[in-house]
This record gives sequence, C-alpha cells and structure tokens, in this order.
Amino acid sequence: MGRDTRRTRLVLVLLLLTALTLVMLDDRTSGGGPIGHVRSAVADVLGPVQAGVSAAVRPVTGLVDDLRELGAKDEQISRLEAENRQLRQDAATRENDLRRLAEYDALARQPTVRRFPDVAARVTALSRAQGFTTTASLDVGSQDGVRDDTTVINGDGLVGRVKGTARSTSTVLLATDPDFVARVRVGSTGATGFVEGQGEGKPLALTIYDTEPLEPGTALVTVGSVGDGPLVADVLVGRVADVRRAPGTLTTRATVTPAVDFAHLDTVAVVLPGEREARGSVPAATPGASPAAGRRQAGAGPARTPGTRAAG
Amino acid sequence: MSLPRVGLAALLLLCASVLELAALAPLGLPGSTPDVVLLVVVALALRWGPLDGAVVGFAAGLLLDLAPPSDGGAGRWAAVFLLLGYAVGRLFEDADDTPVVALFAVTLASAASVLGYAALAALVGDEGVDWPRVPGLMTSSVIYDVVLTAVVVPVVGGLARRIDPEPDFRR
Repeated sequence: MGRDTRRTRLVLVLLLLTALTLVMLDDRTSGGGPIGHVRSAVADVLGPVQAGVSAAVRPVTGLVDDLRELGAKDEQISRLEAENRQLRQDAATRENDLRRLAEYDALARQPTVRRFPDVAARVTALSRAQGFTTTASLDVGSQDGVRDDTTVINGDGLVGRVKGTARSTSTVLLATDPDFVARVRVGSTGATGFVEGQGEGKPLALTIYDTEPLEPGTALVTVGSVGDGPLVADVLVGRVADVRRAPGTLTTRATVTPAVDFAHLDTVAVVLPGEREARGSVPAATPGASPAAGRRQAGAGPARTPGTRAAG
Repeated sequence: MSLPRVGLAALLLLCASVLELAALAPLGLPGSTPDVVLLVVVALALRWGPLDGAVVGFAAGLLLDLAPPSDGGAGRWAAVFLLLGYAVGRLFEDADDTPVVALFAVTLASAASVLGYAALAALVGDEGVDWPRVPGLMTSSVIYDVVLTAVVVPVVGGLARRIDPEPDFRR
C-alpha cells in the first residue's frame, strides 16, 4: 500500500464500505427490503435485453444439441418425449389421485380435477454457478399477471416459486436452491414432510416423520399452501432415491431425485393466482342420497352450508 | 476516471453481464459459469491501474448483484470484484502488456473470485455455500476464463487503448 495515493486509498475504502453495507442490508432469506426496488428497476431494463439475447443464441444452443443428435427426427422425438413425460407424470401421481379419490369418497364428495389458469414462459437467464444460488429469469412479469410467491411448473413437475417480479420479467427460485423449502406429501400414504434444495446438480433432501417405511421410487407431490401461494397442491416434486433412517426414531431422511431436469430448463408455466376451486358440499345423511345427487348439488361456488358426514 | 473511460467500462460491463447470464449460464457447463465480466474487469485493471480497476470492479460486481436473476445478497460480488480490480491493477502496475501477463492475472483473479465469494458469503451466514464444491468451481472457473482470455482481453485492451492511447494512472 506504500505507493498508493491518498485518493486511491480513500476511494478503495469508501467503495468497500458501500459494498459491505449492501451485504448487511440485503439478506438473501428475507427478500424485499430497500434493495428490492433497485433490483426490480434493473430487471425492468436488463430483462428485455436478456430475453432478446437468449432468443438470439437459442438456435446456437439448439445447434449444439442437434450435433449431439445428428440425423434424429427432432419433431417426432420431442412429441414423443412430451407424451412420455405426460404419461410418466400421470403414472406417478396415480397413487396420490387414487388416495385422494378414496378420501373424497369417504366424505361423499365428488372429486374435482384442479385446473389452474397459468401463463407459459421461457427461461431467459440463469444465475452463475459460483454464486451457490440457482435462480432463473423468466420472460413474463407483472403485466402478464405473475405475482411473487406463485408456483412455477413445467411438463415434468415442480420447477420452483416466483421470488421477484418486474414489469416484463420475473425471478424464480428453483427447487434446487439452498433457500428452497416445500412441504410435500407421499403419494401412496399421504404422509407429509418437507424437501429442501441442496444446490445445483444435487438431489433434494427430504425429511419426513412417519412410522411407515419409505420405499425408493415413491412419488412426492406438493401439499400446497393456503390461498395457493407460494405453492399449489398436487404438483409432482420428484421420486425418493436413497432412504436413511436412524434406528429407533421416527425421522426418515431421504434424497429425492427431482422430476424436473434442471440442467435443461426452457419452457415453463407460472400458475396464476386464480379462483379457489369449487368444493362440493357434503350431503346430509338422508336415505337414498346417491352420489349423483351429491354431484348435482356441488354447483359453482364454495358451499357455505356445514355438511354432516354421511353415516356408513 | 475520465468520461470516455466511464462510458467504455459501462458499455463493456453491460454487454458482458448479458452475455454471461443469458447465453453462457444456460449452457449448463460443468462447474462454474465462464466469467466474461471478470475478464473485462481484469483487462481494464491491467490497462488503467489500481484506482480505476477498483472502481470498475465495484461497478461490475454491483451489476451482477442486481441484474436478474439475482434474488438477494447484493454487495457481495461488488466487494469481491472491487478488491480483485484493485489487486490486479496494483500487482501488474509495472508489468509489460503481454499475453502471458494477462493469462497469469486472469488465472489468479478467477480462482480468487470463487474463493473470495464463498468466504464472504459464509462470513455473513449464507448456508448455501457448499465448501466441497469450491475446489471444483475454482478449477473449472480458471479453465473457462483462461480459454476466454484469448478472445476477450485483446478486444477490451484494444478498445481501452483506442480511447486513451497513453494511460496515466494518476489522472
């Protein structure tokens, strides 16, 4: 430092103090804060640029992929892949659906297939690996109806949740990010636990408290939150890989292979916070009440009448 | 820092950050992301010396901290790149303007940026820092950045030479 001018030293110290002040102000876990507005403004400017560049280089990236699959019938393959993904997801969530169906039947309710409005988006940028975060930019924002704390999915299952929105872009916290936590349900038994991200390229970590042993390959779905934010229910998260259970405890820890291939994220969908699904009322225990009658009763709008459980 | 320098640095950093986040990060290369922004900082610090190197480094880090898809932890890359810009400018103040010097500077800066960020993030209690991954990230970072040096540093150096042919560090 001997040869430095006083000015150099002053500038260096001032900038370092500024940086460290920002470090203290902008904590990763809390989000928002004074930096949030600045970040949103930067996203307004840089987001569209990123989207443009991403669209421009995509053919090149595609070319790299094409070279790997030289001579393959791309269109047919992608169509079959999509179909395959759909079927796989159907198969994986089948157990969960059956269980839900049984529970609904027990309540004499009519099961509804939940349909959410969503908006399709493309990944335009990813975070740098040396920052130990896994976040992505999407080319949809508040003008498309995207809000903070909404679910992001793709054809395979859960991608993550929206953590910040600008006008035309949004930032997604991917499920692999160390900050990501989600409550999940074991499809076959209905037991709940939670998964946490462990960083890029690593499986998710599952913690569950249940007496039932957990089999590798079991599908896990999201539990969902009140008001469908941040996560909606029954989205496939992944499958159990390695199970570790300390003897004499109820805590099962396992690694979970995510359903989504995070290395090749492209087209995703943001679930828009929409109407709450219509729930049927539980019919009163009158003789001759058929399920069909219950179905007719379950009209639009949430039922306000408290139902009584149909006796056996 | 003179006005032409500010303009050139701003333009180069914006281009580098967009290229890095929108084109290089989605490639999903093993290990770390090729760091074009760091190369710009190193190239300019080599040309302009410690004071301007530090200022450019701070600006570059802050841009990475705030550009989408960042989601918190602003100031960390700013602090890391500030010190790197200063150190590169200081260490190579009297070195000749040769490719070997540039490669050496990039190697040091690239390894130091990964290690420095991990250390700073761990220091402020970020539990996402995965120390077992750090050696691999450092190695891959150095490899990618050294490969890109041949492309980026001559271009940036050439542009910097064009806007002020005889750099004077104490301007």
